[in-house]
Amino acid sequence: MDVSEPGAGELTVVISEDLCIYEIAQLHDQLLPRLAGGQKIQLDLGAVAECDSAGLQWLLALRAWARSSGVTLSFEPLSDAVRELVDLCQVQSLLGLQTVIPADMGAC
Amino acid sequence: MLDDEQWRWLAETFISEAQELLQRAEMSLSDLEQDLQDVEAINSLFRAVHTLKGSAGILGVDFVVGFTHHYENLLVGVRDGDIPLDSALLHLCYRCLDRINHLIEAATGGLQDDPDPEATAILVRQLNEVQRSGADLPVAQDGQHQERGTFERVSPASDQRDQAWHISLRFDRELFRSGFDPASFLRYLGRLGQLTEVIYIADELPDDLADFDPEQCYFGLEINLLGDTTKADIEQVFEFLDDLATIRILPPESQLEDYIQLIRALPEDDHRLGEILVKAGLLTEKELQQGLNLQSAEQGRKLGEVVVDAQMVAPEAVQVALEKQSSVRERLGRAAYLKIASDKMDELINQVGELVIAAEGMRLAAQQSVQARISERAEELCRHVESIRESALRLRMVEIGETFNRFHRLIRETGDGLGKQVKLDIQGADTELDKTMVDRIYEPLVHLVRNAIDHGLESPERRLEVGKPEQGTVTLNAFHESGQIVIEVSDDGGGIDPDRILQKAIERDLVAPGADIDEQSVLQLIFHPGFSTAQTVTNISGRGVGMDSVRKDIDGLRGTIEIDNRPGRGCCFRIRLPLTLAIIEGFLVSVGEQYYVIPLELVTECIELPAHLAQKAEGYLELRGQALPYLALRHYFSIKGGAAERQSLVVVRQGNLSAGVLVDRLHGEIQTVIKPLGQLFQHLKGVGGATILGSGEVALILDIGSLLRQVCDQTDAGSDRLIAAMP
Repeated sequence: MDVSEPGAGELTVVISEDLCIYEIAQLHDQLLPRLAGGQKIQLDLGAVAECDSAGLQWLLALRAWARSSGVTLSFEPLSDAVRELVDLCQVQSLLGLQTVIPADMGAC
Repeated sequence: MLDDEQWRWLAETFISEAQELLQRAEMSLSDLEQDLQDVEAINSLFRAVHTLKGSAGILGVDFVVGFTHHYENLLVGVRDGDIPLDSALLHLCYRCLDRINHLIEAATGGLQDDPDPEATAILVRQLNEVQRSGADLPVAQDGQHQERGTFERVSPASDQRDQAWHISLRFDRELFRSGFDPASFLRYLGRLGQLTEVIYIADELPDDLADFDPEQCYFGLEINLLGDTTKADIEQVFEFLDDLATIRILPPESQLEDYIQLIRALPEDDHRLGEILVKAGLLTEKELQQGLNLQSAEQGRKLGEVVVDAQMVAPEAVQVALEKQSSVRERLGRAAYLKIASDKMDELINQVGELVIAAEGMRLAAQQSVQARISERAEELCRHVESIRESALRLRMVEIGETFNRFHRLIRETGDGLGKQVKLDIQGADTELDKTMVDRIYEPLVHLVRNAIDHGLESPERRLEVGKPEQGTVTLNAFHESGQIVIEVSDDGGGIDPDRILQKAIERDLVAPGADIDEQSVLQLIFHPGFSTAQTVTNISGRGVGMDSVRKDIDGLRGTIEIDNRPGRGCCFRIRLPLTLAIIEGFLVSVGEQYYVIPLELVTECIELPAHLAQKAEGYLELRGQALPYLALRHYFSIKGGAAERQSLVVVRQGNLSAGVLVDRLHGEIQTVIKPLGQLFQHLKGVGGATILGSGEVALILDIGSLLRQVCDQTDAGSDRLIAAMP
């Protein structure tokens, strides 16, 4: 995980680890102290090779926290692995993402 | 046209069927008295009345059909929920049943018309009134809508949702740590069909990130799955989850009708509700197990309610399955019983009795034969005869519950008549006993129950004074105990006051003033003819008849009655009866040349003792430090000749009385077919009947109950005759 501050109150978090049950506790512990003071946070998940339900739940928890604390949180970009899980669980709107209608369902 | 013979046969069948139906209807009313909402009881009441109307119609007894039709109409209203059932209406139902009973009696007595049209008309008017006033009440319909509503909440109407399976998942917090990933379930489900909607339920996520443990699972899923699959297939996806998730799988609403069809089309076997639902594919084995676990955790709930509440199955489906179950049961109930005239049954029992004697003779003869093959075959024959005997006797066994259930009404009416509130508690209803016995025990039980309500239970005011609930309880209980049937009639009233009984007995010269008698003997005085302690004579009981007839009836059944008195807390009359009246396991003994049989279940032990130790006709022996009264059969029956060198003492026990019977020789166990003694010998004390031995000789069957009473009375006189039985 790589956290940078491009501007005042802005955070860019690049996650290159897997978002799975084995890594998630460590990621959470690393990120939690850095969140204080952040007003505009971008989570870069473009390099996440694997994501499971625990990882997705973490993203949703971050999003819920952000909303209740008035922080802007965006997930940009998403790797295919994360996108697949988001679509499977149909949580696009919960994560503030654009709903992408899969081709096979758009047809019906 | 039917000839007389056929007509009589039809009429007889009708009478016995009608009695059965009336009894069933009355039982349903009793059930409704306990629970006015008991749907099964209403259905069963309706079916009984409906069938009754049908059979009366076949016989063309129009006045029975006419009235029953009005009654049936009312019951339809109640069943469909148009007419609310309350206790007043229940009372009317009872009265209608009475009326039908009268009408059937009149019909079978040969009457062509209603003997009391006025009484019938009054009831019909009341029935009509109830129907008119009840018709506007939409109570039950509302309830129905509500029920449907709960189901619809889960899968709201919409074309696609209508056709989709609905799966609801709630996970355990430890799910991730146990190595499960819900996403993989979704992928699996995706193979069974199309995931048209996945709703991620994140309500449980903590607001504060500091409270969030990323390794715990906080979410749940609501899934709609469109696909041609089965509940069991879907459940298999979650096979290893066990306790880590709560899973509910509801079939597509559009399929519900199909499932209902399937239930109706199931083969007509008697299944439990759960089995029916599993067979129709509405419930999986696993859910059934969960449902049963839930049910056992919450006593008294029905499986149907449990599975509907847990949203495992739609209420409509359970309703249909229940209907299926009861219709099958009713049909099987009819098919599973065979009506046999009781004289044919008696004949069979008699013949089996002869067979037992013959087989016993065969065995004796074979024992003396040198040919091993003959004695082997004889043993085999005896074994079969033994099992035939048991099956034949079992044919006569009926459950006592039916007799017990007749008391609901008696108790209500007796209680009402005396201004007492009484509740009947029935236990051991499935205890079986001989049909003859059941028929003959009813009257004594009626006496005892009336007595318990009249004399046993205090007035409601008095009960409140002493801190008891206003409503008294009469308990009927039955169970098997060491080869006997025990029937208990108990109440939670004031118990019996032994002093008052003793005083009364002295007044009536039954007991000498100052006599030293123990409490049990005092209590037994109430069975004395003409004895009644009631201060006032009520029209229920207290006229001094009853208790002695109870004793006489029970003696006639070779039974005993004892009183368990708990002053202030109640009283329990305990009746012990032999299992059957026809054949018993006996213990064969002899004195000189004469054989006697002692019912085996009453024998506790046998001791051999030298003749000189017991020279007296009766007295006490010391047995392991306890004084044991004994009686020498040789003296008792005045048998000539000297006692054998070594005599045997058979120790018998019945209830709490125990005594020794002194005999010359012991011969061991024997199947004893009881032959009643002729009228002339009915009053012989100490002998209950006779039997024919395999050798053709006659053996007398000892009536241990009466012997015990005599021994214990006679030996009360002196204890100076105590001698040591054991060297």
